This record gives sequence, structure tokens and C-alpha cells, in this order.
Amino acid sequence: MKKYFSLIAVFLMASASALATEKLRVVAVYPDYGWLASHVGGDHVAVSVLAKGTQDPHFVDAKPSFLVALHKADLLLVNGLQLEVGFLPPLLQQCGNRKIQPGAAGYVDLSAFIKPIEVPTGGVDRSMGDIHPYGNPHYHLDPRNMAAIANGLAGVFSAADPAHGADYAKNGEAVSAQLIALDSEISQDLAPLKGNPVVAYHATLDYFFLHYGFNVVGFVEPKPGIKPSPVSLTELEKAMRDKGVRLVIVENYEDIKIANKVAQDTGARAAVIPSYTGGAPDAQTYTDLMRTIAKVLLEAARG
Amino acid sequence: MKWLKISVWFCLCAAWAARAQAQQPSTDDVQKQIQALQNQMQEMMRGYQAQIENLQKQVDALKASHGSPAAPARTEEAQGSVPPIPAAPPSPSLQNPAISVIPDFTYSSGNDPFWASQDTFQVREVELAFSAAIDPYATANVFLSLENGEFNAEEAYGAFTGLPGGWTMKLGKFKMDFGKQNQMHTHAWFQADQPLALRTMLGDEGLDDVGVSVNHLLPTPWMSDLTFEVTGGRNADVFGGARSDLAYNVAWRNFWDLTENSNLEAQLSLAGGKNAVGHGTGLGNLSVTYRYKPLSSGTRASLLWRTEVIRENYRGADGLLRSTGAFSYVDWQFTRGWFAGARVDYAEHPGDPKLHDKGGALTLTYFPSEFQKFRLQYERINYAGLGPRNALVFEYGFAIGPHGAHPF
Repeated sequence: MKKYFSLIAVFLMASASALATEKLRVVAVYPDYGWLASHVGGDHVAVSVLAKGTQDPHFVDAKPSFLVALHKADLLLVNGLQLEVGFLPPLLQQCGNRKIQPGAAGYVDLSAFIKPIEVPTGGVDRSMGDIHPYGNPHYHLDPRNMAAIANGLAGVFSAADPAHGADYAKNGEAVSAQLIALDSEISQDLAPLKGNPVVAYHATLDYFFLHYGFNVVGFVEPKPGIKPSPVSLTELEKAMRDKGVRLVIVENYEDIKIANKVAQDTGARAAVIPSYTGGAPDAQTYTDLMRTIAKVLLEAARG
Repeated sequence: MKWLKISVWFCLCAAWAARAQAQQPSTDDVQKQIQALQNQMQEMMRGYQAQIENLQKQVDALKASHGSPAAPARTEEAQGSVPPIPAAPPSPSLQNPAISVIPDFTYSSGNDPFWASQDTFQVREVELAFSAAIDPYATANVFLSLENGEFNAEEAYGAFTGLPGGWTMKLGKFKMDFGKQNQMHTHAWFQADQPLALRTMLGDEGLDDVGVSVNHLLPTPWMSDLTFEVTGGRNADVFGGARSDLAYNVAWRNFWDLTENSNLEAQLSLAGGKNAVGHGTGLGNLSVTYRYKPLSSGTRASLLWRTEVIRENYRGADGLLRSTGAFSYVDWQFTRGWFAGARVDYAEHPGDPKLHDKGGALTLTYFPSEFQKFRLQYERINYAGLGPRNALVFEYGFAIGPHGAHPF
């Protein structure tokens, strides 16, 4: 009898120990937030990321393999502003995890930490293309937004795992400071391009352009998410010539051929950039991503 | 006397003015006082600022801990500029369920009996899709189909996503988890019509019925799940027994990411129930889907290859009838918006398995956006007893409203 009690005691202690050392399971939809979660959470979190940095964030497939991570997640970090509307709802309906359903504490909409831009003042409809009714969702390319999210995540992680709250707060402040320093560095690097008129493929970099002082003359897409037509490209090229645009910026998952042609027709240069962490071999961390974007833009501008 | 009073008042005023003049501080004194006041003010401001920041941090932390953190105020002016976005009138439907309307039009010609029995130009279906959270526990999904002037509840179920133990459940009318094709709505088909095997063996509507469906992920290293379904067994083509005769289905789905750009899905489904003559009908479906989609392709090229084999054991008054049907199709996206596809079909007649139909279809589909499509399809089927028949079909469909993504 005594032997059984000993065995049960050992089992209970082992279980308690396992629980105590169990990490907070965090699933980030996009890799930039996975990078942030790993740095804020440190050793106390196990982070999985659904989308790849090389793919168009609007067209992530709702692959059943994502269900494995979602089923076990304690926290789900979503970009919000309807960027995931095309694939996340069916995954959440199938994952069998009530902790991360919208409205639950484990469903963390990171857009709540930032101030969105380009929020339509009235309603939106699809004649405007793929406009997001709650604002431009690509806010991760402003490091100040990421710094705000780092601090916010520290609070979210602390609420989910109070035992390590002090570590999360310390990490959050450190990451935030690192991102603010990164922002200063990028600002200095891009200072020579300030005020430059540019054309972009999609509105992915609007937060970046606004903060670092680029003037966007137009987009290769005539409307968000809409394939350019010969007529729309002719109009764009005329506007580029009128305003002296020398730089066409295109995300590396978009149709680079079209961007190259527009640049060629107008004597501009095309800058092909990764726009998410992991989107290029030299952009495997968020800080490297931002430095790579700045480097590509500077090199393209110099010709 | 009067002059005396005026003189006294004048003297008093002069004396008061002289005293006031004597008491006025020098310019230096004034500057010192102003400086001291400024210092005091700045000290107070710093104190208030610290208090405000401290309070703001507390508010942010509180909001963050409740999952709705505050957006930090951005006081800095933007340095660049981006084109303004257009505005439209406010939407009046904020409190309504998400409502979508998805019509499907076809034009067909040729001597294929399936298409010849339909109008040359027709609105084949108008799907009305409604979805909304019912409450914190369940989501409603209702798909009404208007066909030939009649409304039919194609699906109408509550989806419970937060059951204990990681289970999910559907309660209501739903398309049964019997292969992948059976669960697809008309507007999501890769061809203008259902594969021959489905419409010959399962009927026009496929296996959909009223009942309960529960699902759970399996603890395997790859993605694998099991679905159990119990329905009223009212599908007249395969079940249709007495009121108390239920139909059952179990589906085992597996999914593997082969590479970053390709994956494989395999599903085995087994269904059974009583048929119209009171005996048993057993159905099996093996479905395999291969997908290739380079993630970083600017042209969005992709390929899907799906094959399904359906087996039916129908015990009638004259004994057991075994029939088999199969189809295999590819859908190749060769540039943005453009898809070319091909399908091969084979189906034995469930009532007389010695007879079988076989054929295929070629398709070219163009999606100007995710929300409308144009499709041209050529189909040739060799029907048992009829011989080869042809059809040329043009299909046009669109979706308005926020109809969300279908399951993968």
C-alpha cells in the first residue's frame, strides 16, 4: 500500500513539475509577430508561426496542418484589420480550441496596440478593390508600431502567465528599446531619400512611407488587390513622368515583371523588397528585414 | 470749503500714488519672479506628466491584460504622403449577419442528356449565405439555395467551436463529410457540373442531411482528425429507410505538408444506413488531393489534383448490388486569374452495375477577382445505352457580400 502511495506521490510531483515548466504556447499568424513573441516571451513561450514571410499575406491557404498548432495554443496573435479574413475563420471553427476563439482572452488582435492609418471615413464596397474597412493592415513595417506591440505583448503574456510577469515586462521594454533604436537607424539611413516621389505595387508599405518621408505618387495596382490593366498602367506611367518618379517598389511575392516594365518604360528603377520577416535570405529577423528594405531602396535610388 | 475738500482728496491720491510707485520692484526683480514662476510651473508640469505617463501605463497594462490594449497616441506628424483612399456612404448593415448572394448562370448546348434537360440559358442557382455568432458558444451558418423557383436549405447548422475536450460539433442540416467534393457548394466546383460518379451514385444534392456531426483532432505527429456523423438518413438515392432508420458516417482525414509549396490530403469515409426497401446500404469514399502552390510566385501559379473513388453496396430485394464510381481532375492556374482544367469520369449504375458511363471535361476559367468567374467547359460522356454525348457550357457566377473562405 505504501508503495502505491509513493508511486502516486511521485506521479503527482512529476505532473506538477511538468505543469510548472510548461511553456506558454503562442501561435502567431505572421512571422514578424512570431519574432516579437519569441523575444518578449523568451524561454517561457513556445512560438509557432502559420504564414511564411515569402508569401502574400492576403492569400494564405487555410491548410489543415495549421490546426495542429491552433488546437494546442494558449494564445493566438492575429494581425487584425481583416488581413486574415480569407483563411482564419474556417481554421478557428475547426481547431476545437475555445481559448483562442474571437472574444476569448487567448485571441489577441495586435492591431489594438497601434493607430491604424487609411481608415475609411464612410463605408467601403468592392468597387474600391480590396480595401480593408478598418484601415491599412500592414502596420508592422513601422518599427514604432512593433515597439508598441512589444510592450503590449508583455502585458498579454503577464496576464496569461503571471509567474513570469517580471521577465515579460523586462523583455518587452528591452525589445521596445531595440526597435526604437532600429527606427532611428533606419531614419538616418533613409534621410537622403526623404521627400522622394515613388510608386509602389500595393499599399503594403504605406506606414513605412509615411514615417520615413516618401511621397507615394501611385500604385501599380489600379485599386488594392486588382490586377493592373494596360489603361491603368499608361495612366500610372504618365503620372510617374509628370512627377519625376525614379523608384518603383514591389514586394517580392507580387508580379515583378509588371513592376520592372513600368520602371523600364519610365526610366525608373524597380526595388524588389521582402515585406515580412523571413521573406528573403537576408531578412530572417525583423531587424534584418527593416535593414534589408532600407538597403534595397538606397541601392535602387543610387542606381 | 469745496476747494478744501478737493485739495485734501488730491493730496491723498498723490500720496497713495507716490507710495505705490515706491513699492514697485525693479526689472531684475520681475525677471527673477517670472523665472521662479516658470521653474515652479515646469516642476509641476513634470510631475503631472510623470503622473499621466504612470496612469497611462497602468491603463495600457490593464487593457492589455483584458486582451484589448489601448492604441498609443501618435502625436508625430507623418513626414511622407500616400494617396487618399476613397470614401463611400456608411454601411447600414452593421448589426446584421454576414449576408452574401451568390448566383450561378449557365448557357449550355449539345446533346448531353444532363444539360439538354435544362434550359439553354438558366439561373441554375442563387445561393444565399448567412453567418453570424449566435452567442459566445456557437456560430450559425445558413446556406439557402434558390433553384427552379424553390428555396432549399442546402445547409443550416450551428457550429460549436468551444466544446470541452477539444471537440467541435455541427447541429442541423449539413453536407456530410463524405469525400471532399461532396462538401463543396455549386459556386466552388472546379467544373460547371458535379463529377458523374457523385450525381449518378449520390443524387443531385449529394449526401446532405439533418443530424449531428462531431470532430476531433487525433494526437498524431501529422494533421489527422476523425469526424462522426449521425443523420436522419433521408437521402432517397442511397438511404431513405423508415423514420427511425438513421444514417451514419465516419471520416478519417490526414494532411501532410510535403514541402513548403506542396501538400497531400487523403481522406477515407465510410457511411451506412437503411435504404428504401429496408435493407442496408454501405458507402465508401477514398479521396486524395495533391496541391502545389509556390508561395512566392508573383503570377500565383498553382496546381490541384484530386481523385476520388466511391464504392456502393446496395442490398435490394434481389440481393446485393455493388457499384463503383471514380473521378480525377486537375486544375492548373497558369497565370493570375486564369485556370485550365481537365476531368475524367467513370460511374457504374447503382441499380445495374453492369452498365456504366464514362467521359470527361475540359475547362478554362477566368477570375477577374476573387468574387466573379467566367468558365467555358466542353464535356463528352459515353452513356451506357446512349453512346457518346457532348455539351458546351458557359458558366458565369459572382458573389456579393462578405462570404468567407470555405474549408480547405
